[in-house]
Amino acid sequence: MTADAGNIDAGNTDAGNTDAGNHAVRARAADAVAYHGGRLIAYRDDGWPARLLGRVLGRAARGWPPLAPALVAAASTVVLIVAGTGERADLMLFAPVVALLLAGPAAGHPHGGRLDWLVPPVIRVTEYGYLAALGFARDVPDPMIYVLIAVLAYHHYDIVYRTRQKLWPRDWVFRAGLGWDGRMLVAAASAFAGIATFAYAALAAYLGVLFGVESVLAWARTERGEGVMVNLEEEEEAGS
Amino acid sequence: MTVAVVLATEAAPGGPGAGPTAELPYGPAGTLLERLLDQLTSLNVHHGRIIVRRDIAARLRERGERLGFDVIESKDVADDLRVVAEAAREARQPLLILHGDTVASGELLTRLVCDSKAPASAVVSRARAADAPTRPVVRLGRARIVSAGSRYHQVTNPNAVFRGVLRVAPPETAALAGVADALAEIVDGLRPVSPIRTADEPAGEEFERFVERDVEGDLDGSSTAAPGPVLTTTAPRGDDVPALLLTGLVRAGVRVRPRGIRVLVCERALTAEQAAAARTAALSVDEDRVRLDAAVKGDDGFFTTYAVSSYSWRIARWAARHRLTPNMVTSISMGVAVLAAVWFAAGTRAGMVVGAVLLYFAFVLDCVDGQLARYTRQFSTLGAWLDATFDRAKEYVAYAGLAVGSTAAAAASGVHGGNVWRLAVAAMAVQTCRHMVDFAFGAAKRRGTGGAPLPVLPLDAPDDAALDPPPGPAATAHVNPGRLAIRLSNRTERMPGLRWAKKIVILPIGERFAVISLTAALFNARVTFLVLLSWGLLAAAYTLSGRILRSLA
Repeated sequence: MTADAGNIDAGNTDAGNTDAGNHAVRARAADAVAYHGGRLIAYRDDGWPARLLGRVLGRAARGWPPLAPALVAAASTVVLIVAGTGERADLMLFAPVVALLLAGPAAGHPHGGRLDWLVPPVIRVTEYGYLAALGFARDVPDPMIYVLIAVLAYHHYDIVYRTRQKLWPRDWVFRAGLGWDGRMLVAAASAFAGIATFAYAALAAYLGVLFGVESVLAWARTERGEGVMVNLEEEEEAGS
Repeated sequence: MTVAVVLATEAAPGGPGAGPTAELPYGPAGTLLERLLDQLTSLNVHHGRIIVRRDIAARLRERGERLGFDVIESKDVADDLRVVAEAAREARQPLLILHGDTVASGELLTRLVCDSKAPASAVVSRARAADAPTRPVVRLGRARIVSAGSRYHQVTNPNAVFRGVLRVAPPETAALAGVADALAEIVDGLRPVSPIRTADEPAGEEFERFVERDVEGDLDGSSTAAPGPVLTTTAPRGDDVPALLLTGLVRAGVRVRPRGIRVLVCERALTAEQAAAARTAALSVDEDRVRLDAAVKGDDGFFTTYAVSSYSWRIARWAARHRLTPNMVTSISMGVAVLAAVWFAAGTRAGMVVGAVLLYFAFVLDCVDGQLARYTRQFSTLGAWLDATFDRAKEYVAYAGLAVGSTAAAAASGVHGGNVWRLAVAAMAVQTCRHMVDFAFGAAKRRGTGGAPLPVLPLDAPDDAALDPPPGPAATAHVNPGRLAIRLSNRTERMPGLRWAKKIVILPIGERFAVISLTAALFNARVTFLVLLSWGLLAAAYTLSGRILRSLA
């Protein structure tokens, strides 16, 4: 419904106040778009390769929709993993590049489409699935893979739970965290070099320290917000 | 901090000299207004205005000003409204607008002052036949008041009554100031109308459906709250400024949240008998118990509701009496979960059983921390973060413990499940991605809400007929699978069996912890992960299809 359609009859006596009301409504809507839309994009957790692509290609191919390429990226990752389990093991190593080229350009997209909320989870499935499958294929010790994905899960939950309290992780955390694209590329490159186990351990240690220390420091320098009516958002995760 | 505007303008029966109803006795010592001001100051509401008529100004001035309230003389309703407008323009804090003859449970005022999230909310209760002539009626829709009535404004098909207490916080105080000014200009020219208008709902289109769970703190639910006849029989003679303001706000397109009273008391006392009856009603409410009940979340899953919340409030109360903070309980819960993981890792049947029991208690404590926070109103952003983060950590630590134990167990024992690390990785990835679906869907949904402006009605229209759905069959034209899914979902919401089934199928946290504990204690880690994975994937398919349909509706 547009503002005009909702304005059944402003009348004479309260015309000014009605304008003020609609103005406030519009301001609130803009706030909601900026805040929740910003969260949706933060949930993607893009690294600098994807952001670069988003900046360069995204403008050239304006309207590169986020969802379809992300789904194709996930599907091709699955295909390359399956194809790469046999003799042609190196096929798997191309998955990050394919995924980056497909899902990267939408890094700066506002994600305003009806189904664009599917993009962050699709990217998560792609990332976790790829790191797990590659680790299994390259004989990385299983507990090491578990630890790496647990560290990433911590980071992704942390983004959600902190933006919920309006405490945004600083931008450098996303860059230093390499992003889904960066992490997949590092894993693939290390597998190509034959040092997958070392790379998984190094990634888990580096990212674990980075995300853990950054969260603790963020809470140390923030007021705890005691007595503030916090946004528990029970409805959002009804089942948790 | 909140600022109050108290209207002590209603005259008590007994002719001139009887004073305002706010001066009626409340108990052996004191008046209604004194009790109200005491309640407000105990809630840190130290400032505000008391609006009075000239004849009693002097009497109230001394007492009001001692408490930090300005006593303001006003000659009529239009003047009252101008005072409110001025207060609203000055307000940098939330405003509480109420009658001086209000007898309200302290807990209700506390909720309104401390717990309100919406910028504007009004205290309402279910409409009873007896209420209609004496209390302003309203119609509730989805999480908002759709139409409100006053002496001069009719409501179509009302389903609740306004209890005379209104809270407006910035930025809506600006709208309140505009509305109060506009009403002050026209109120003398308005003509009284009968409060209720009835209209048939045209086929195919319906009035915005009232959804009870959207009311903050429940409407009054049961007969326990039914007031005696004494409380409902007298109509106020003066003009009801809070009702006028509520009507104005709603008609200006401000989203006003209804706040229910449930078993709490919120009455206006217009005679000495009513004051006594309201006092009896207020004293008979066990407010601590009400607070404790409200601390238990209403929309939890099946396992949480029946196997945890049924008694965890006792632990929450015990913790409150021993001055434990919610964050302490959260940390203890995390510690218990780590112990559970250590026992799981032992790879013996005894270890699995002990681990299962410990994991269950970790989950109980996880529920207690939230209940304790709500019961003692100790909210903090850190606490919310810690609670959510540790919930995830507890679960994934248990996974790791189970995976270690499975390989550590003797090959012949029933606990031995072989190397299940890959299953553990898969279970964790599936669960995290399921959560990410919830979070991303939630963010997208919220981004879209707050958008469409609400309809605006002129303040001088006697009725709200402009809100009626347009006649004709046009509305049924576009039925799509998404709308059908939403309608089906709303229908099933009303059938208890199906409602629980829908909650169980999404494998919420309580069910997950129960599954882990039970399968670990009875079988082994392989069974645990296979159940978690298959159920989790089923749940993902169910929620995803539902949400995709909803998004397309």
